[in-house]
Amino acid sequence: MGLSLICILVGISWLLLLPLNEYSRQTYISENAILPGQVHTYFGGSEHNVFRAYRQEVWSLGHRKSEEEVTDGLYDLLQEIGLRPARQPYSFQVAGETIEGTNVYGLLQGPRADATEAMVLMAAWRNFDGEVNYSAVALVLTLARYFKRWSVWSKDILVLFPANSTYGPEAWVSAYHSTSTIPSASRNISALPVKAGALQGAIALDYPVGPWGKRFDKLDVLYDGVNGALPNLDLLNTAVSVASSQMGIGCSLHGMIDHSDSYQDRLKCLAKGVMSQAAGHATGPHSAFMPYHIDAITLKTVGDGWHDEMSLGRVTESMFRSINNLLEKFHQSFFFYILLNTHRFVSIGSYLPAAMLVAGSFTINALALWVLSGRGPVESPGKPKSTSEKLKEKALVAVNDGKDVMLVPKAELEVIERKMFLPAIVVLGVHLISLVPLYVLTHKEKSGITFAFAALAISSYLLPIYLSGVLVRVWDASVQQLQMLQSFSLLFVGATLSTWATINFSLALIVGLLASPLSFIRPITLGTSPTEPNALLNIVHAVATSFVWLITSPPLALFALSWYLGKDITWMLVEIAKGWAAQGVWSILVIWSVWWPAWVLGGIVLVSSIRFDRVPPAFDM
Amino acid sequence: MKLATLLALPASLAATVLASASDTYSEHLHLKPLPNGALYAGFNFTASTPLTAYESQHFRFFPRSLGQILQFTHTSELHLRFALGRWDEESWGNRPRNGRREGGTGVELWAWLEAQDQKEAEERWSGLVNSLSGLFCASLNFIDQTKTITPILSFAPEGTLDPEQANLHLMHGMLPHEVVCTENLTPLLKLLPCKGKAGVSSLLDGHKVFDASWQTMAIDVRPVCKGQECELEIDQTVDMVLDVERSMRPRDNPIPRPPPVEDVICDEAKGYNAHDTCYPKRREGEMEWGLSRIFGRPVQGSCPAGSRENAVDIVVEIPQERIVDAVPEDALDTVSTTDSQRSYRLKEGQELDLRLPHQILDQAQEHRQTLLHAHRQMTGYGQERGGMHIVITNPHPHSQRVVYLESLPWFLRPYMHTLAISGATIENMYYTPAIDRQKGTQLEILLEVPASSTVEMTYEFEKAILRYTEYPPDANRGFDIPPAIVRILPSNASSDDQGSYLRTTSLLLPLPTPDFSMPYNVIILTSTVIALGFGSIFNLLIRRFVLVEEAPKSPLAVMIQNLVKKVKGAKSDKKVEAAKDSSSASILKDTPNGEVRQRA
Amino acid sequence: MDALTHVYHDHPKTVLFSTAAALRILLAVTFPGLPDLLTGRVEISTPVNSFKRLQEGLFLYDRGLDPYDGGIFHQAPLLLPLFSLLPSPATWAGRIASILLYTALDVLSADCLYDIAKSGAAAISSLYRSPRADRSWKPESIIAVYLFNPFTLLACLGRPTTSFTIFFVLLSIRHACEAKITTTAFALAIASYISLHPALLLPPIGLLCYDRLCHKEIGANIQSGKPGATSDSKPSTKVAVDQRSLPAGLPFAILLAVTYFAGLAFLVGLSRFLLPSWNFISSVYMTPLTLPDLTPNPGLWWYFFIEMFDAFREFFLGVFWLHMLSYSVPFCLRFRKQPLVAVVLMMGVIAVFQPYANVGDAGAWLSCLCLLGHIFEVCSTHRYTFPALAALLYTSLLGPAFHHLWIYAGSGNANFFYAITLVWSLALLILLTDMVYAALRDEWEAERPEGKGKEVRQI
Repeated sequence: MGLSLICILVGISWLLLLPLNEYSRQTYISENAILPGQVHTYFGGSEHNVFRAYRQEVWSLGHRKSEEEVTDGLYDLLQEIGLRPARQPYSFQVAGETIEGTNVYGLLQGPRADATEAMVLMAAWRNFDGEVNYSAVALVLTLARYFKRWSVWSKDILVLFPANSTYGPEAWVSAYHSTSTIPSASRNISALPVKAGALQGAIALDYPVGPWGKRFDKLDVLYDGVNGALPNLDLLNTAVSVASSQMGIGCSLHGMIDHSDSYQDRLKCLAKGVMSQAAGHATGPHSAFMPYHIDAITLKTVGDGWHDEMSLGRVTESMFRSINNLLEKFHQSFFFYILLNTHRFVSIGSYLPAAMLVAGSFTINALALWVLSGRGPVESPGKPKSTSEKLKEKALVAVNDGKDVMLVPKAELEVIERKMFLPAIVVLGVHLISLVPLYVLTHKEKSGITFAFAALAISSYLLPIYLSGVLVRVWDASVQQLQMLQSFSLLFVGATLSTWATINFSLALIVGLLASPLSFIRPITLGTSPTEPNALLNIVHAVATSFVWLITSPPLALFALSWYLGKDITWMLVEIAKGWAAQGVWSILVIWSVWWPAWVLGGIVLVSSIRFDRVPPAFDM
Repeated sequence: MKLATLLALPASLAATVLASASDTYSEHLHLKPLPNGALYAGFNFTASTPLTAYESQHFRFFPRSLGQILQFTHTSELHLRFALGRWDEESWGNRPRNGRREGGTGVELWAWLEAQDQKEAEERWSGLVNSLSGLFCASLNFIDQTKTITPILSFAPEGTLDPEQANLHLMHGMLPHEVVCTENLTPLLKLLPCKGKAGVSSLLDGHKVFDASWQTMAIDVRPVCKGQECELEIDQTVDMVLDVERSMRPRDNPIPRPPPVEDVICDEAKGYNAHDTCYPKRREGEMEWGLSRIFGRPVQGSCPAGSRENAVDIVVEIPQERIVDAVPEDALDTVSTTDSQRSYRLKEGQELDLRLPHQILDQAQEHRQTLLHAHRQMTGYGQERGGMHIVITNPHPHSQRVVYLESLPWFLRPYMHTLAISGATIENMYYTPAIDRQKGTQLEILLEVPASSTVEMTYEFEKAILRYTEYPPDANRGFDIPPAIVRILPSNASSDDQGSYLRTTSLLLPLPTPDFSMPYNVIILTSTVIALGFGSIFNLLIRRFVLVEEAPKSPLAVMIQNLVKKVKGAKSDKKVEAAKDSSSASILKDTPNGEVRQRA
Repeated sequence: MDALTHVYHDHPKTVLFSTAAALRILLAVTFPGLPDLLTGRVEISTPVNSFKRLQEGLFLYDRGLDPYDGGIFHQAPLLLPLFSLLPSPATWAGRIASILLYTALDVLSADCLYDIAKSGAAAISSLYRSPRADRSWKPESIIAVYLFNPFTLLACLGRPTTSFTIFFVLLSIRHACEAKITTTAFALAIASYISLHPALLLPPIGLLCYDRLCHKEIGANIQSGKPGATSDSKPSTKVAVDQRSLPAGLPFAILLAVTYFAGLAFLVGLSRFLLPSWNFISSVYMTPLTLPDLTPNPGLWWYFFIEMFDAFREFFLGVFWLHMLSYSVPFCLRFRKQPLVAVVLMMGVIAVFQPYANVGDAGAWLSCLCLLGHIFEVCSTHRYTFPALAALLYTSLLGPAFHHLWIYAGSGNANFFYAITLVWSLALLILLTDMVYAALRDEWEAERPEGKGKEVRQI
């Protein structure tokens, strides 16, 4: 018990150590073929005039009435530039809402390319904040026209204008791999008429400025993918080094424009990174590409400075030249990292132990409880000698006398079987029940979702009490069984979280920390007589644990999250449902089907002993 | 110019000296402007020699180096292709020469060999590919057993061969990953009688050829019999589609910098048009172009080999009103002029340049509909399994019978039971499954594509994981899957038995890769685990149990005890008791189970 | 609740079987994608037992082509006519039909297990009677473990053909427990015809069969000798009988071997009769031996032979196979007193060390371990059983995750999955050694009752 507490503390302090220089590393390019910023960029001159013209075009498109006109306009522009244009309508049905739109894209066939590889240059018509992405769209068009003249491309270039920053790319990339060609109730995505080879990388631009123009200060590099997947660090480094060393444009992460390389800022950057990774939702048009093992980032202009669209264009040109140089897929550098600033990162080897320690604490407790349940209930601490003596002679008897050999083991056999059965069933049952909230919250209409959530919250507080009542009253569960029950649930949580830590470290860490009190829950021992020496301690422990248990509950956590984001709980629930249905975000699954059952079982254990006539054991470990 | 004539001299001498009736040589250049700024240029060089002369090693126009290889390997018909880029059907229309002189991306080779049995045929085939790879500086020798297939429906001999003949074996191989470049063009020119120094072949310059958007080189050797006397024909073809704007860039600055503002044609119609805002306007009309600017040099006169009377060297396929200036005027004489094309004959030893000025024609070029579209894509992601998705579209109002041939490497394992075809019915299907590391998959499907309809074929496959020695250096790039070949069978009306061909693009197949730095670690770790199991099991099996007390003390312990005895004999027996206590303690330690037993 | 318990106590087998079947079919119906998903999992389907490859073989077979003239299909020929009777699994009906077939297989295997457990061969043999004999698990709980074991469940939905092997092995053990020589040998012949390695079970199963024969004889003698007293109620752990009354060993062995090989020959001949050529011999039986297909699986072989230097490939293949061979006979010698233990342990060796390992075999073996339930307490008190089980839980969760990271996310490399397969095999090995220890300890304690629960040492 103490050991697992230490584990958690060490895990947390480990995290706090990470921003230090000793535990983080300087970023570097490990794929030699990229050669970032080695090419001279020519984008500029008369292209600027063309860009202004295209921006006017896009601006006028933006003020048309219907979506069709916009898509048609973009389609015609692409055709005029000389690309092979195509459209893709899509629609999602989530939480009673219909998300629909039409992606417009064009294929630029590289003269040197043999249609086996391709790169994606995209600008969502509406950026992640819902503004129309005038300058970015215009810039992409200009770049497409400019790229068309070059003969260096050894990969095709796909120019993509998703209608929307989250679901457009999702629809496009999934149709590109034709993973979901059969329209289902929740998603109806039409196949792509024009395709190229395997996608090697994707870069999205975000520059929502109208014809008046606006100079920017820094480029914010967005890199979080769906379910916390990250792009290869090389792509990120390429962007940073091209922008900062070649073009002299500073880069920022998570919108931290003024990042003085201090410990606090690093920690803040780390925390932001962990939070957005844990959420697992899309953070930009690039996010949808990550699950298909396509490295992608979004370049978002932030701040108010002296860089103009042309320098952004040059950054993009240089990056495309770099990606074009690639002989193999991005595979050299890290895929698991936490960024402290644009030039420092923590690699998996350094940060994984934190999550593993937290997850490990569950397993340790599970083992302890297992051993404890094997040991059986001690009458009362203080006189173990006598019992052991008694036992000793019993054991001897059991061996010497032939008759007891028959009886004694039989009895134990019974115990073993019943012992295992009930807890296993309960644990399994609770995990099955956990599918109910999951289903409800992902399939409910928007109107009723808040009410459903409230109902679930209340019932999830009542469920443990009721269940423990049933357990103790009806199936008169013994202390061992409760211990085993807790042991099983903790073991499962530990295993699942440590598994999840390899897929989405941040989520595993956060859920692990929130669930960590569960491993210290013991039955409340109010029945003890005050004369007991450690009665006070028991009561304190009981009050503390029950309080913590009440606080750290999944519904409450969700509510706290919505409060922290300053958003309406309904909005958040709908977003979660959308994420689940349209993007395939699994965070909600972890919360409801891993944490919630463990929490409920913890609650069962907590309130179980209130009706106990027998004094439950004081676990001294 | 002088130089060219000098160089052309020996050939011309040869031509005059041993002019024989049947040794013929002719060359053509076919030029055709294509929509949006592309220009098609098709070079064709045909030489033939009587079989008798060929067998007696008399080579005149027929290249000796190739001839000897063919004789040595008993190759009766040979087709070799080098290809680069893609033919853009949507905008360029129909393929030149019905796609018969065109290969899949990379290198493609098929030949009919004379051999008694399959084994001998394979030996001669490997001899052929090895010697050809030497001749054309291409790694043709990588066409091994796993890449060789024997198609049944897809190819028919062009010459007068009897494919049913027992001792004729058709072998076919493709190398999609091979990058075609200058070093393949040079040997091809070396085979010509004028060696690219004179005649239309003098236009072929590596820099320009391989800057083309699409280009393919072909060598076809076939025996042709007219009645009794047979002759061997060699047909060398270089087809390419050049981007006029790109290839007219001066060689000293090829970088497509943004043009100066004043050079950009703006669309004044736009309301926002200003000094700093310019909507680029597509310049209408035919682009201006000229041979020397496109190919970087003028034609070095005609190639005097072969008979020059009524020879046609250059054919330009342009509407009547399009202006063509020959520089100098007298460097060529016009053979014929129709409203769609003009034919010219070169004069010997005179440089020639053709120039077509910018011109606005009243009627635009008609867009010729292609026979068939075929696209092939991979579906799914990840390195475990995937699917193939083939779409064949027939835009014509009559149905067409096509043969779809796919030759897959063995590490792509197709599941034929998942093959689904919508829109057509399989008339006939030949399928040879792959065997690991021995042979590849060969799939040949004969189907009838209904009039103006689309046929979709899909099947699933699995991606094998290879031994770490079998991966190329760029393992994470993936492996190239050769293009699928679609043969459109001739309708019964037409005379030719060849039909026309088109090829899909090649594909990139990502395979799961092991860690290449691990062999020692893996061998050590796995062996350790196995040894652990083996050791502990046999350790248990071969030894017997005794109680701790009975276990014989280790000699060292005995020695120490004796030593202790020596030092203080009195205390030694206490020690023994202590030992006893500890043993009884161990009993206490183990009893709790006993207690549980009691309780329940 | 009580009603349920009553029903359960009245006819446990029916209840268990029906619930198990219901569960499987329910899963297949509610999640229609699940069976094909599991069929695609490398942990369940290997090149030599994959259901999808079987479909490919069927496709070729139905068109009169030789299914073995290709690198995909390596499964026993006689499965082809059997499965060509079923409707195509692409259709709904076909899928359900296949699930029903495999459910039936599971139930039949469970039935075999039940009879094996009932025969009590685990704890009581002709030469030996375990002091914990009365502590062996109830047959009901054993088959419950088998039927509801997640590995068995997944394997059933994944439909690998090794389920047939498992069934026939269990069948042969069951007949061995009933001392039926010919049927034992024939069932084993079928098993080793479907997949090679059950041939290694011939010695232990033969021993078991012989022992049960003796046991019957003794029982009969005792019946005739002193009526009323059964061998079970004998207090002494050794059963004293004169060796002359026992059936002779040599003719028995000859009979067994002859039946086995005759059965094998018959099956192979039959398959040749169905097929155009002898290709299938090399394709079916050389594949596990030479490992041409290195698709990942939870075993120890695949990555080893991916990374192996070409020069040493053959050598190490030989070494690995010799290593597997090396267990059969020693087990028979050491456990001649408790032959079923030898059989179960040998199954364990196969489940861990076979070239194309899969969780189906592992799950079946883990449930078979419950036949030795009476000696569990020995492992649990003296050995590392719980850590091993925890490791199994972790690996069975981490395995798919790492496979995903390697193959789909591309963020991890092959070593991730390899490490997990390594740990998985190690955990299984620890369980195996624990059982060896427990069995030996039990035997020893039978001779030395006072040694119970004491520290021991091995010399």
